[in-house]
Amino acid sequence: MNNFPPYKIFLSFVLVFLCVALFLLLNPGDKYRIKVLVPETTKEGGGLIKGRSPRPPEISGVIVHPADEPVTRLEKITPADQSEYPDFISPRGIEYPNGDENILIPFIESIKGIEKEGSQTRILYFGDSQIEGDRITKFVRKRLQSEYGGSGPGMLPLMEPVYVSISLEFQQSSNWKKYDYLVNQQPSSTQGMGTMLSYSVYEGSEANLSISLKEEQDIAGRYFNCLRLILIPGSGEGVIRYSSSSTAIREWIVPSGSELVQFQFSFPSIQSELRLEFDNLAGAKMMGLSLESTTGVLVDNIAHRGSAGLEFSRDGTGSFREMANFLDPDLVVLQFGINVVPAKSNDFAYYGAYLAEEIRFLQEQIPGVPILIVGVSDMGQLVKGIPTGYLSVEKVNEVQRETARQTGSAFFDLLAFMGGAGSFKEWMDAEPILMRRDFTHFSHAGGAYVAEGIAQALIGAVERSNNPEDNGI
Amino acid sequence: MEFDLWKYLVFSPDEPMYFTSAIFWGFLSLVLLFYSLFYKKPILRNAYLLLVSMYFYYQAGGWFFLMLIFSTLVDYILGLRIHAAKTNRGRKLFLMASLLVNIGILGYFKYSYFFVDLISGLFGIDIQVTNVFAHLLNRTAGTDLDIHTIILPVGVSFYTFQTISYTIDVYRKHVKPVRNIIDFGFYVSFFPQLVAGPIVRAAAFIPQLYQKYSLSERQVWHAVFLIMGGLVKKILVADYLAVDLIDKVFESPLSFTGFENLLSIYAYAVQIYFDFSGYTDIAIGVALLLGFKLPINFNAPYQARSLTDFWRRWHISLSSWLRDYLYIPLGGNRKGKIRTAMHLLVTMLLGGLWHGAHWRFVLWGFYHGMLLLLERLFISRTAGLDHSHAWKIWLSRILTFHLVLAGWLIFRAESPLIAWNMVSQVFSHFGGGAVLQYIQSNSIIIGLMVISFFLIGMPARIKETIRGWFIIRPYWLKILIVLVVIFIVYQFQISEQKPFIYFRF
Repeated sequence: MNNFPPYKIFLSFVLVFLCVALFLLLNPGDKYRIKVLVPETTKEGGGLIKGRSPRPPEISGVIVHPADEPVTRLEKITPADQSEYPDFISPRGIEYPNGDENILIPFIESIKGIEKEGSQTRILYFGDSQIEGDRITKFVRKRLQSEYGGSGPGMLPLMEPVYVSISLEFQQSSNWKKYDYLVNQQPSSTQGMGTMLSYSVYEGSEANLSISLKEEQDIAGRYFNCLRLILIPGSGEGVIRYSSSSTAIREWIVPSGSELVQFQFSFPSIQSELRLEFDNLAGAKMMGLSLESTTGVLVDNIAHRGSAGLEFSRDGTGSFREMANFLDPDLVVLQFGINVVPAKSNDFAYYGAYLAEEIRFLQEQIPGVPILIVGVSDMGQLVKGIPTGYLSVEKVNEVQRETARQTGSAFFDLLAFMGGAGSFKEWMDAEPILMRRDFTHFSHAGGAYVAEGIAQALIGAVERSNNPEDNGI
Repeated sequence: MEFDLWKYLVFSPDEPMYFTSAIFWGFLSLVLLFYSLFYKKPILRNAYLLLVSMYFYYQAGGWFFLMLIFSTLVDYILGLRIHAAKTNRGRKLFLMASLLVNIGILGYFKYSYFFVDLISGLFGIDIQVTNVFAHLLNRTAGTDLDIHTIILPVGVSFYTFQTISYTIDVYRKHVKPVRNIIDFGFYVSFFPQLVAGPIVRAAAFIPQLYQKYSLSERQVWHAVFLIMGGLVKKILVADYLAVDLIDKVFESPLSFTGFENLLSIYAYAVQIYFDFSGYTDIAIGVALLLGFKLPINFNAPYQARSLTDFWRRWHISLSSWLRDYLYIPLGGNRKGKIRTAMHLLVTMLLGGLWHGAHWRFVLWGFYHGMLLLLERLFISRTAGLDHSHAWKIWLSRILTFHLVLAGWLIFRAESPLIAWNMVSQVFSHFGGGAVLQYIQSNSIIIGLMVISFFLIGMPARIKETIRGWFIIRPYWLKILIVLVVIFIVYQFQISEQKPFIYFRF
């Protein structure tokens, strides 16, 4: 037998290496990488032109390390106070443009009203996939409800095909469909989407829906005693039947109409589940369902995968304002940015301009309601095999801060809270892991820390209003 | 840009040397270049490969290569002592010493936390794990090492089993002890199979140490084919599915529909098989390029017609090790039905525990043990029936696969609650209305799954035909194919290099 000497294999290896080296030389910046084959979680962004442009690709999905904390242990990993933060986390308070601490006064007054008048304080918490599935908002809600009272998960879409909430279990007939501005685009752009930026409809004459709050929830999150349903009925009279484990079936007769209507019902006792049956309401647009307490803090999780926070002004029908009138929010939180960072641009001023337009739209729709911008979180990507932070993170963060200043909004510097640009590596290396292996999304444990940071900053703002000498956090 | 050569020469905990890292293939090229100087003389060849193997282990696991040297020296000496002992008692004594050292190393590094937690839980006392080596170093050398953490050395489960099999084989007189420490060190540490097997028996490998280098051109391309296949299995399929589907669903199953949960369970069956068999294919290919033959570790396991058949096809080197060094010594099936059942259960429980210091691996072993017992009962009752019909063959394959699949759910889920949540999501929140939407927007995952199961079910003769076709192509075409495969793998490379699953065991 003829032996094949090792040096011949070596020469073949060299030949292959040379070809690969040549390819890499001609391929700076992954020019020949077929984007569609890269997992969605690592896609780079494209352009970001408002309106008619394709939406910025979402860094979506939830990539985690197997060793991450399971859902059932979430309660245990929520830090009780800032002394339990890892070293690289830098807790901070709310930033006010031009030092104007009055920005949050309406929110703070509303919080104080909970104790004085037994009123509600509602926070509309908008965000991208970073808050999907109630990941961060659940802990913000839990913290604020434990501080000021309140229970229930707040406003929900009636159908969620993209993700499943960690707080709720939905069971529904299969004829539901959800429309929104991004993932399941609405059939007609002339129809409003309300404050949820989405609506659900069903096909056929009947549909049903059961919701139960998951047992892993904290006590407050597991119960509600008030139900709201906001919808546009459409033509024809319909019926909605609702019941819980401890109440008899009740009915709402829904008259026909093209205006937004709200049905509200307070249960005599606390509930943890609900069943709804819809009859002859095939044309109705279900804008949202809220499970809440009649008093205390409510935090609505309004997550939109792929969003950069630029969809609010698409509503030309006034549905946002009308629905907000029903809900009477006291604070709007905007947590966006991870879909902007990967865009190949050196100047994100255009994003600031668009975001400012959106904020002004919100200020027109819900005048007097303060807005808190939560800055972009740190994130990275793999460059030639090495986890590398996006240089644009700091730019986007600064643009968001400047937009807050221009629009008179409050700002929470999440990037600084995390430890600054490049800190995503420490979040990934932490035990339990705080950032997922897509270098972008927080793990449940990481989300709990972020939520704690934001909630503490808000609590600090309230406490500071009581005692101006207090530094807030 | 400054090129920092030193960075690539020293161990980096963040970037250990895996088969999937470019640095490994550079390392292998240099090994082959200098191998040309030594390959004709077995003594020099073995010494050279021992040296590069130690360096490889240093690059993969850091300073734990010192422990590998310690383990090698101990078993080398004890192997000689066992052989030289005049009495059975003496032979037994040296064998016990070998078992004590090897199992001691494995137990200390791998199971300390497990047993400490177990004792703490059982007796309600608070015991902390202490790294005695770090403690001793701190006391004697004034170092400041963390004494509360014990790190699992990479590959320790594999090479300790390999050395245990050696001393037992010497004790049983199945092999003669290796006289030369270099040859023995090379047998223990041969780098292609050092960190994740296959667990090579002395009888199969040691004779090769004394044979002349023999490698045909066909074998070279056979090896290249195996390496390419292994890389495709690992990077293109296993890592992609893990990052884009499996990890996220297994972390938080209630955040996904029942369909995604079900899909991720099937995907994990693909991932673990392609990950481990991919590693083995690369290991066999690399060893072959150096002129050594390693045994196969997988033989189309998902085509098995029964659980017994599955264990003859899955991780063959481990299952045969457990059979020869645990099940049979316990008494095998020679001591009545009840004892046989007990031997089987103990073997499977310990086999499960070998995979990791966690109750879920014990449960997984128990699950397989119970199924094997039930299967024996069932087979003994249907012994006279004809099982050769095609539909029966396929039915038994599908049934076996799904039993294995349920086992993987236990194996992968971090806790029974996670496994339960996944199953309950499948039955209570399947999300049938969103299936089409999911498939449309996740066509790569679905495509990979379909191709993977097609390959898994492909008859061996077709695979052989494809390999044969590749081997006889002209040189330029084979190089072109290799480049195309590298290009495709590059397209699928994900955000982070994921270690092979079995590196953790």
